[in-house]
Amino acid sequence: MGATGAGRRARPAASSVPPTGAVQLDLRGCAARDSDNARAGSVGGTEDKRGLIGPARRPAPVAHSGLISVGRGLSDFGLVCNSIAPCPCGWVSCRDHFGGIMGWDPVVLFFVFGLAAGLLRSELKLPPALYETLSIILLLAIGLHGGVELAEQASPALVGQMGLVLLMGLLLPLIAFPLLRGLRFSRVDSANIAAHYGSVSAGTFAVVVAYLMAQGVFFESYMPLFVAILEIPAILVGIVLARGISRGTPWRELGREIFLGKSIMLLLGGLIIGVLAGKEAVAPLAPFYTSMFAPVLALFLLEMGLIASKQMGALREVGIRLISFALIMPWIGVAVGLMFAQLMGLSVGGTAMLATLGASASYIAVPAAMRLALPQANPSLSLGASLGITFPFNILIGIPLYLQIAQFLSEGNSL
Amino acid sequence: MTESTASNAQAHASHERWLLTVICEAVLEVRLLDELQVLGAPGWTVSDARGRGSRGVRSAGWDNDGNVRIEVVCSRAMAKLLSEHIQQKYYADYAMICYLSAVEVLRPEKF
Repeated sequence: MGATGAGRRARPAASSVPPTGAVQLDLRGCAARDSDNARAGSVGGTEDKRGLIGPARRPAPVAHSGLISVGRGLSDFGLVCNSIAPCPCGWVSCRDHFGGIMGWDPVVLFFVFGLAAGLLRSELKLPPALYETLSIILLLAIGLHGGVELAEQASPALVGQMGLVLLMGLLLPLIAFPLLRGLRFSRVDSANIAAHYGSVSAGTFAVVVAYLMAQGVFFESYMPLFVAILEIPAILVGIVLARGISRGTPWRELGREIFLGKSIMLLLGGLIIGVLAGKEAVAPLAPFYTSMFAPVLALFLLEMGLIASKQMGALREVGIRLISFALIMPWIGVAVGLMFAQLMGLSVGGTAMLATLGASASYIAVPAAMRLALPQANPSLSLGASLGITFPFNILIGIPLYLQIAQFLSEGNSL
Repeated sequence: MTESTASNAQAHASHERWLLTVICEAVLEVRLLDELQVLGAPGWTVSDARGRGSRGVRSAGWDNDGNVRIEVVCSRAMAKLLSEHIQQKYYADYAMICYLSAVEVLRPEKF
């Protein structure tokens, strides 16, 4: 988690004047001093030249050290101040205030804090009901925001993209399974872990949403739909890989667990409400995905840090083979995600997001379903890998790298 | 007073039933309760639980890390049927214990 990782904020170089309607980004809610604009840097010229949808909404990322000026889309997630007034903190310039000593993203720092507290065996513990509430708010917020935007951006091409995403969900566990078998895991354990890695983590998705917003990178608003789609196929593939198609698999019960699970219901529920109600009607609920989003995500990540630290403790028993897999598989997922994003013609942000989804491993929907479907599988292996290694890796190191790769590919394509 | 206590004890002793307590992974709750209904359990009480056993610590900190405690008061025959079913179907693969204890009830017709 050094200089490249940990949501370390990009510090753009050149200078330019923020575009009309731009606002100053500051995760801590402090606005920029006007004087900062004078020394502002810019990341102008990063405009996506491919699948830009709704150009009027695209934030034009113009930034200076630690402060990123963005279009109004960013303020949708409460990650920006809508003011360029002097910083209310008064005694220190925003540039210094924003960047802090290390320039870490405060939301990610909450995860590091939870991780450290857990590893130090602190008494710190969030009430389980709070964790439940936070995850419900996050999932609903993501779904709702996606739905509101989807109502404005829906196109027939979406159906084809959904088909491709489904295919990606089927492909990922089929790649992971032989890899795990090659690492000498049993058939059942391999199928179980493959299902976790073929599916996606909604928590990681929330972080990548916040990260792209903070970086001022546009992404397709209907991505939450893809999260819901990606959760399902890997579970089915995992079950079939382990036990074949028949042999007394309780499909009806599993179907309830898979299709009516908490995360899918919340994402799709929020999405449908957003689509049906439309942006203006949803406005009173907008705090879900504006001002509340970053604080809720921060607390959620604090708890995730505590949970991940417990899984890390258990990793001592599982050995180097699992750790290797948990570090290699995200990159395979990224490659698959990038490939499908290219096929789907996604924007840079959408590409980075699909790559992140490919890299992530489930820790909510899949463990519950697989525990019922494959009780012989050892859950400490799959959870140890997905929560103890892959989740922290993606949050602390992966996501910024995936965005850089997506940007690199985009530049390559536009040449 | 002593006389009254003794007579109460006699009355209760005649209404002895069995308390089957199952503590298991929370993920099994829905499935297990469906099965209890099919097998004819007269009723049950479910509460969240956490603890430590041969399968490690289950601290109920998040979705997949909790236990539930399911309590059923019933006849001895029913308790035996339920506990055998649970033992055969789940003991091998899940974090689970179940135990029986005799209890006295005031309204035997309910159980």
